[in-house]
Amino acid sequence: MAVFRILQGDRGSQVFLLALTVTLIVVPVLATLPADHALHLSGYSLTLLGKYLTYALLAVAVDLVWGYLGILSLGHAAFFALGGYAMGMYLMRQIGDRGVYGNPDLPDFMVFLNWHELPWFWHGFDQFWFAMLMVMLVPGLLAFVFGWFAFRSRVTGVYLSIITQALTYALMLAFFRNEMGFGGNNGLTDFKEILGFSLQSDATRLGLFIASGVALGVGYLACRGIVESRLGKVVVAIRDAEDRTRFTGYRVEHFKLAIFTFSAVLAGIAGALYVPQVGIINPSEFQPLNSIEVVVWVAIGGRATLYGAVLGALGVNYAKTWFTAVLPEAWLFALGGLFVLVTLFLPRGVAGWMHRVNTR
Amino acid sequence: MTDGPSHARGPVFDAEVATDLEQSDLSHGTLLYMEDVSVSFDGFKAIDGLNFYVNVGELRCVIGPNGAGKTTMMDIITGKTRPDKGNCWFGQRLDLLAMDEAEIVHAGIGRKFQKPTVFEQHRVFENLELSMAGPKSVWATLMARLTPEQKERIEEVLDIIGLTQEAARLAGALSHGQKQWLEIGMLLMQNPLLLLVDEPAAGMTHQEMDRTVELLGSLAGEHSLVVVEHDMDFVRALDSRVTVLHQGRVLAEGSMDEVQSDPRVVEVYLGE
Repeated sequence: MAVFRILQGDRGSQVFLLALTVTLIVVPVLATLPADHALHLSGYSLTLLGKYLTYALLAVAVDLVWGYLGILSLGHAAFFALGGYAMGMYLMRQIGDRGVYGNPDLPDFMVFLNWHELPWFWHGFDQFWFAMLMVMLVPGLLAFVFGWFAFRSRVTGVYLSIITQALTYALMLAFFRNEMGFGGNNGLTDFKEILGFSLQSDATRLGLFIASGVALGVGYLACRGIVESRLGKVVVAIRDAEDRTRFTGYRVEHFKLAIFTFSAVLAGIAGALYVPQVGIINPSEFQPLNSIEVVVWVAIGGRATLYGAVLGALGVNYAKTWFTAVLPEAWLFALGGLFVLVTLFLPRGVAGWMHRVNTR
Repeated sequence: MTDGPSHARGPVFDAEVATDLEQSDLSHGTLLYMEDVSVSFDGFKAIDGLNFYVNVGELRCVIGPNGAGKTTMMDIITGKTRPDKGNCWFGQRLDLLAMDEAEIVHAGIGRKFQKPTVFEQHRVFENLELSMAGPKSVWATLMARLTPEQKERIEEVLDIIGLTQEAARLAGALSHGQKQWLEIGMLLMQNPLLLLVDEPAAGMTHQEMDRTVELLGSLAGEHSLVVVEHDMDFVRALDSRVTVLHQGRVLAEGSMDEVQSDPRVVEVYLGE
């Protein structure tokens, strides 16, 4: 089977996918135990885990672009947020007339702004399939257009990183404006249900958790499939010797564009699964710091392994949750310190270190 | 030609040339035409009215002092640099100035860089696999599977460049000379009509140089080669026609002995 072929010889991926499968079986069991049982998993923990899984998918998308293709994207949170907004728009339309103002057609913030008609770009979002299409299409299209111009003019290295950072910053400023029609400062929130299931119920939360886990697994396998194919070898060749690759007859720009766009689509899917679990999407998701944080997860976990990205995303976010509860003011110092230490002592991240210990 | 240790090798490279010869129309016996080509960077004339021709199957050496325009000339042929004026034709029909880098590669021009450039994180075998002639679109590479014929072809080239033993090693772990050979092997995988080889002997030991001379010599005939080199012993060993570039134009052309006795050449270059 194709799955076995693409996982051949990659112990890290095998272990990760096994662990993910076990988690997707065990967690639902624990979550459905009676509330007073010692091993019961609360809805809060479940949502937290689900959120981590969407972060892990985002990290895998960044690893594909940074670890394998060598493009340090400091704007991937923008694609994540756009996917999130597309999902948020669907969830807003699902509220219907149960909003504060009871308007069956317009979300609350539009009524508040004295708008009388739904803007054209909100049409269709009452349909789940349309919203899901947009979840992939909008980030993909933005990445395609952005990449088309950036890669064709052969912008590389730190300049490209700065432009991606500017991209996410510009989007943040745009989404902060009320006139944009995405809820401005407050973003989209007060969601009620998804596909008719209440977002407050534990069963829905469990469903979203499983969906996140499946999306992570499928996205991971897709990336692994790419990396394992000759396409993946060309991508690494571009990272290591771009000119050589070009003079070997590959249109480097096309490869960059394809991988960058695919990665943006994955990030969009992650964002769409994130929003119903946290219950809100607002322009702060576009802030430059978010994109940088993803890069830090990948660096700590280990670049160009894929499972390292997952490890980094889960580990750092678990630490963040713990720190912000116990020592909130120390978190950024801990993150910064961790980044410095890993860069100095584990240049290939935790995954690289594990690999070295294993093969010794 | 050389008394160095000869390396056991099969028959001289004889793979079919993938590119359609008729497409380039080589009926005149000339493969590459560069006529009246000029290019300047910030007012500095790197190439100044250059005329340069290469025949089918010819091995040509290009020498000249630093800044003579040797590398710029290769940049123009491979589409990396666009000249300000002049013509550059591949055969009778292909206008190189109207093609991009990838099209030029597919038309049959391979290039080896001055600094050996291989895919260091890939194995030697994979380096050759990636360089193989054939469809190179995103989709084609995603779906690509190595066929037994392709594998055989890679092994053949491994044998030609003498790296059969190293096939499974990472290219980054090779010695400097081995990387140079690997890069030449990568060019061969593209089945090119014309190989542009920039300083193949740089940093090589004498033994490695002898082997490189032998390798390049065996490739001439099937392919045309343009070799840029600084090392005069190496150029003499190649025993080919030599073009001397100076200040972006051709100063002299002929056999090594003729060129060396040309007073203008002695003045600008060899006499120093």
